[in-house]
Amino acid sequence: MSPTLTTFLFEAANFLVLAAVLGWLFFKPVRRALADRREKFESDNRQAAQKLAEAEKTQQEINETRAKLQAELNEMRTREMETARQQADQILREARSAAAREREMSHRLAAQMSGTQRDILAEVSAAAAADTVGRLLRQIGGPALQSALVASACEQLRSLPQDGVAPVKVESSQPLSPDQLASLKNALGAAADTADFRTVDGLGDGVRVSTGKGLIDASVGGLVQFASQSLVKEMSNRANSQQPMQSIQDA
Amino acid sequence: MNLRIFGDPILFQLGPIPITETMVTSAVVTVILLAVAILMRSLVRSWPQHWLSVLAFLVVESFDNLVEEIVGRRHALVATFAGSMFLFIAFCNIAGQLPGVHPATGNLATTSALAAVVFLSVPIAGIQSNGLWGYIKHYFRPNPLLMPLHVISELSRTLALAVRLFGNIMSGHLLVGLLVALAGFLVPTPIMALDLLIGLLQAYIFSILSTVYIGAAISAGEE
Amino acid sequence: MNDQTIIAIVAMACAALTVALGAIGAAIGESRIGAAAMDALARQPDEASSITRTLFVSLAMVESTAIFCLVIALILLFANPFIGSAGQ
Repeated sequence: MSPTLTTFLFEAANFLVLAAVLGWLFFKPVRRALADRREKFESDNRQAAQKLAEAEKTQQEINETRAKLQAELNEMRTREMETARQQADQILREARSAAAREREMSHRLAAQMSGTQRDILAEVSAAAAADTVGRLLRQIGGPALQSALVASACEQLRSLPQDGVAPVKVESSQPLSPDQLASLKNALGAAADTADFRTVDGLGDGVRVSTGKGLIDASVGGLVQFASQSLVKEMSNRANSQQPMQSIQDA
Repeated sequence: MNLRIFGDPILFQLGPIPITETMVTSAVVTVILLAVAILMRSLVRSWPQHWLSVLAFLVVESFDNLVEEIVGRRHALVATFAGSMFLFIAFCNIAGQLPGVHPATGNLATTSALAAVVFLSVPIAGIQSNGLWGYIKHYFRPNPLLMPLHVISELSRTLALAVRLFGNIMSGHLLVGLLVALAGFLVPTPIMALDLLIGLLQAYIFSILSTVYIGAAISAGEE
Repeated sequence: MNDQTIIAIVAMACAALTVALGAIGAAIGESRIGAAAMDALARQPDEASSITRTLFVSLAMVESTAIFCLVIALILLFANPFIGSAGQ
């Protein structure tokens, strides 16, 4: 056999065998693996799509539930807030009324306290003023004051009506001089006959004449007492008219 | 100087059969190809993410698509045929770049054998697809007078197939050999690169042309 | 100048002529194929893969004529049956 012919035949057979073996060992299994992979991919895709759809459905359900819960929550919150507001209003109202009551009470207490203190203050100041006046009068005291006071009493007695003056009681701490006695009797007029002259302590200079029409006090003690009383009265009047509670309420 | 155009040295005699260098080369290429294919197959089964498996997928899928485009439908047998043809010729051409190796496709006997296989596959595929009468009928179309032209066309294209591959590979190898003899070291490197490209291109063209011929025979009865 | 020398001279001249004319024809044909492929690619970029495949096949078929010429020239030079021991 010629080498060329054998080569020709060998190559043809070689290629046919190669093609057969390659087709059997390589192309067919690889093709099958490819088909398997493609099928697997497709089934995976299908499953993925299915799962995606399920997931979307679940997501939608979750969203709906969440929206419902949100609505309920909002409603509850609104209700709670309303209740809380009402409670707060009530508590505020109670607190306000309690505070008002408290304030009222404290005002009243303060007014009471201030009234008492005012009275005490008035009395103290009146006593101090009276004491001052008394001491002043006593320092300038003497026969001149005595005669002036008696002249003043005589003046007042003369201004009284003549009827019903008796019984007359004339009191003095210092002994009266005859001039003074005569002027008093002159001032008393008809009632001088029944007049009772006596000497008492505590009046200082001056005289105190008590008649049927009233008391005429022209003594230092009486003046002091009168000054004190009038001061207290004046202060209490002033306090009532000024309404000191007003200022406390404003504070 | 390893310049050889038509000669093919006999290495040894196996009984009455002389074993030539081309036979040994192509047998070695076949064995290597089969080894790689079996490795790829096992890898495809066990480790589909490995790059060799991906390469195997790519090769098979691309040849399937090629056959689908040319023939018109998926045809596993034709795809296997074209793929095997491409792989064998490409491996032979690449092997020719190794020093001291004469490419098996650089021998007219080898390319003639491959062309003859294609020549015989065409009527087989046509008869399998359209039946005997359906296949023979297409020789008498569009006119019975054209029958000799059909036959001459088949013969001449087979001859062209064989000589084209042989001429390209042999001339490339010859050119490299001449350059090595004349110019020496490193000068033929660009020519070798071009030779590599031409080798792959010729393998592609050979397999595509055989697919076109077989596809034409398969779809002959459908016109 | 015996017959062998004349045959050798004629064979060399024919080989050179064969390759030259074959290369001219193949070159012109391939250039036209390339131009037509460019035109088709510019018109239909979507069909690029199909056009490219057809282009390669056509180029190879046209190229094969030049290869035939080359093979014939090589036969004339190295495997000339009329020259006794010119080849090998």
